[in-house]
Amino acid sequence: MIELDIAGLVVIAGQAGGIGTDAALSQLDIASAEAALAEARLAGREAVSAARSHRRGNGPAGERPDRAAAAAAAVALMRALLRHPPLPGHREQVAAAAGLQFLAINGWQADLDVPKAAALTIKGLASGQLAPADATFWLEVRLSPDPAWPDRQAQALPPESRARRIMHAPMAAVRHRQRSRPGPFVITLGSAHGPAGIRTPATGLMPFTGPALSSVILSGTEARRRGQPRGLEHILFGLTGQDDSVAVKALERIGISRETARQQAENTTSEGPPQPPSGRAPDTPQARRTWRAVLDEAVAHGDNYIGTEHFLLALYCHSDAAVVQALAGLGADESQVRAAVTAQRAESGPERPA
Amino acid sequence: MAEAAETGSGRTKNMVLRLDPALAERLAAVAEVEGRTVSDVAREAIAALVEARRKDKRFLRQLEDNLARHQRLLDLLREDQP
Repeated sequence: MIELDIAGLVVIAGQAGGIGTDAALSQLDIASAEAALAEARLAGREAVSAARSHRRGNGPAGERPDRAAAAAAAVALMRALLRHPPLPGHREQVAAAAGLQFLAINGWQADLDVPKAAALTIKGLASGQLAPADATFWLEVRLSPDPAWPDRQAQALPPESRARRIMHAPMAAVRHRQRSRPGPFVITLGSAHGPAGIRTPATGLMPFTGPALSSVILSGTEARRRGQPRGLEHILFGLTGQDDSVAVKALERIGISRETARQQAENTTSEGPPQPPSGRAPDTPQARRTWRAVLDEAVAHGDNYIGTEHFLLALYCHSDAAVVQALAGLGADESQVRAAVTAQRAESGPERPA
Repeated sequence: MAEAAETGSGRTKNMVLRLDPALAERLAAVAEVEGRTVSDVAREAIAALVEARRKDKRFLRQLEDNLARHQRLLDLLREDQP
């Protein structure tokens, strides 16, 4: 694990605070910065050690640290900087930027698709309302490997380490696959063991509303019927399955009927080979990321349930996706959909958990 | 961990630096020889490290990418600043 040093922290603080490096250096509270880095270093090493005890953590020099260890160490750094601010102002910005930069230099990028949810998480960490372990779980499922990292890292390593890394690369890839495990993010469609919803350690169970559950089931059924993994178009198809959901009503406010939205979903899908009628359709990478954004949208709205409006808004974390472009082409860009959702919720009230 | 402490008044303040013992001794020695405070010497040392970091193109590129990518989050945190 590559640790941040005080010089890196000054550069980050200067940029994130918008004051420049010279001002950051002159305003730097050295004692506070040193205390934060020492605290973060200690907590980060404990995180790596805990991960290693589960056969994860740091591998050979130059190998990307495990996702859980990286998340834990980044949260530890942010928390330490929130507790010991290195600058008089910009406390939360500096902590967030330092955490993100720490992840970047260790080969991870954070997919924070719903910035408001991310801001609430950092504020929760700052106020002590969110435990570091819960923040770690929240962050861990939002980390993805930086595809450019091995090249960037290789440039930084001395020749000997570079050679060692290349020698270890195939085994590292195997180990990485072996270590892969489901993140602490569980989607349930309801069973004798509990209601349907999304469960994470930080939020507990966030139950689906009736229309949201129907949408989820319909999206999976539609994907299976077409012989495809579930993608964004299937999610939109599922959302348009009922005419009384907040998502459909919000689209109607913009002038897009349920049928038109459904047609857009149809237009952006294609048929694949037949799939077995039973079993769960796998999600595309975009859909997997959407699940996290759905949860973030609910948290950002202060809701303790998952409704169709959260799914609709979450689609917009993929602004380049064909289905999102199609909706935007009809006049439903993200800002308009957000405004329509707000208006619809104010008028009809929230959907009810199933 | 060793601690190097100094007491000041006016625009300066009390501070405690948690430093490697050897480094703390060297800082204290330099400060004594040059007739300066430990914190001045420490700040100057940090300034040299910062200067080196400013030339680290990879670090700067990653930072710029990160700040651009998460601009909205940083704006939200800035807006809510008390």
